[in-house]
Amino acid sequence: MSEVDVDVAVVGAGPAGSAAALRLAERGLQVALVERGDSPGSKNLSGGVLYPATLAAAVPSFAADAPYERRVVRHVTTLLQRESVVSLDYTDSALGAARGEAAAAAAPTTAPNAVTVLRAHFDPWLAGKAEEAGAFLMPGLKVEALATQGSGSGTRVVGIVSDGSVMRAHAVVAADGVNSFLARGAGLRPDPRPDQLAVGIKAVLRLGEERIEDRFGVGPGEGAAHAIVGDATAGVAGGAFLYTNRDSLSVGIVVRLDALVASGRTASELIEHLLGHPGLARYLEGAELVEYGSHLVAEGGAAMVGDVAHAGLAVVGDAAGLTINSGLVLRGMDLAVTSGLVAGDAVADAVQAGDTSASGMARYAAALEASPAMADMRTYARTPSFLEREGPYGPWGQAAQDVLRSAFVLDGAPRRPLRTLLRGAARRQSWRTWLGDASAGWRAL
Amino acid sequence: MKVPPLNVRLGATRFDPDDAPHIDASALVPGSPEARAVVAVCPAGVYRETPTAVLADAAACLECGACLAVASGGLRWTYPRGSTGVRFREG
Repeated sequence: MSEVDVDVAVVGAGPAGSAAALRLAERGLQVALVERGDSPGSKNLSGGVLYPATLAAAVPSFAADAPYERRVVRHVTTLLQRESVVSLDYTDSALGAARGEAAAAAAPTTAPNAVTVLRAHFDPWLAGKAEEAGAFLMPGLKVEALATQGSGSGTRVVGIVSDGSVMRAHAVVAADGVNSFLARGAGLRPDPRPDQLAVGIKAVLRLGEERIEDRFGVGPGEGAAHAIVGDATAGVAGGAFLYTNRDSLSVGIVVRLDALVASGRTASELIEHLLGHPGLARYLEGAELVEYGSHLVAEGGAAMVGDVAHAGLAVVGDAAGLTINSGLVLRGMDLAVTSGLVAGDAVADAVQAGDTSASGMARYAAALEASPAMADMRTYARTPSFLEREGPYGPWGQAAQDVLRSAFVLDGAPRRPLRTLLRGAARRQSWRTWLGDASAGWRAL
Repeated sequence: MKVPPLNVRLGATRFDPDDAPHIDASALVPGSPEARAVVAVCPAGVYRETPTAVLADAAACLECGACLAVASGGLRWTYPRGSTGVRFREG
């Protein structure tokens, strides 16, 4: 093999890149972990729920020292209308919900099912684990391009270009986030379409630990994750989230770019609509905004993942389009970790075998394909088209409001049977709409 | 809650601006669908249309890339140089 500066250059110290660097370093390779932010996490933002099972298996000290915010013991799914809030509120001992006062005081010794995180606090911890394993973290360095040889299908990645100089490596792991500039710049990934992308806009609101626990009905260390559709986005395709951190809330919207443009609304108006919504006032009242940010979300599903392995290059995490929006559950960070670990092992195998050609790197694509992460991507493959339907963003909430109003608001008039109420609510939409939603929903889930 | 206006929201976020702007919107035509889309999707209100040009205030950019995705090639947009731009303290 030719002369190199490092065995592997990993670009991006988010969960995918740090997991890849960790595994590569554990395998004894010389790894540079390059990050454009001044510190890991300073460029990263997500709604904030992490499902940590894979990460905790890779980093056994997770339960002891991971700087997560709260463990999620309450998942609430809400249909929000201008005048009504209809929620499905799920708690379960399987989520690690405390039973009784003694349980609430006990610190967990195993990783929780789901936790909330704030990336500027969380990502440095994971990058630190990669450093402890021997990876060399290089913050504050923007990678401008991949260094390549050849062209077209013969393109081979031989390193990275930063500040005009080349760092040569046997292989590069592109963990450079949803914009995936490196692989796109080398002609190895297509530009994403607006209907494959959503913009996430988020406010972090300081509220204080006690008020959070009172308002969200959780104990110390416990948290709630609310997923909200309907008037949360003023009917624009997408949804909203409201998550509890230790002493703050993460609240925001995720709206598809094509739907946002078609709506005639602006991104700024929509987040203001959510923050000022009367249906959320009981949670947000008196909170102080401490940060405002945004980030793109890949919503193209399995079809968007495409080719993740090329000669000298593995693409991981958001850069490979690895996110799932099932309608109920938003996942990205756990898929990022899985792809990073899988890539770390596969690239280590390729480098140690002295073959980082397209066929040598193909072991990453095969291993990712066989991983639970891709199995889940395929399971939810039809969800993006289901979420293009109008139902969740207005008609469902309207129907729920109609039925529940008729059942609970007693105005002296005689009650009508529930079946009549249901029929009346259903008739506001055509049967074709309901059957379409039901059948698309069934296939999507 | 009383909703803080955009300038107050951005004021809560830390920026270390790059002295070389990382956005060039000069190829966008004011009033074109691309220009309107770019203005609409930017959560930071970076873009402004005048009768003759589309202006970009790169210093307030949250670096999400929504604008680039809807600009149909009419925008030059990269990340700012290393260690500059938005610096999330929460994220």
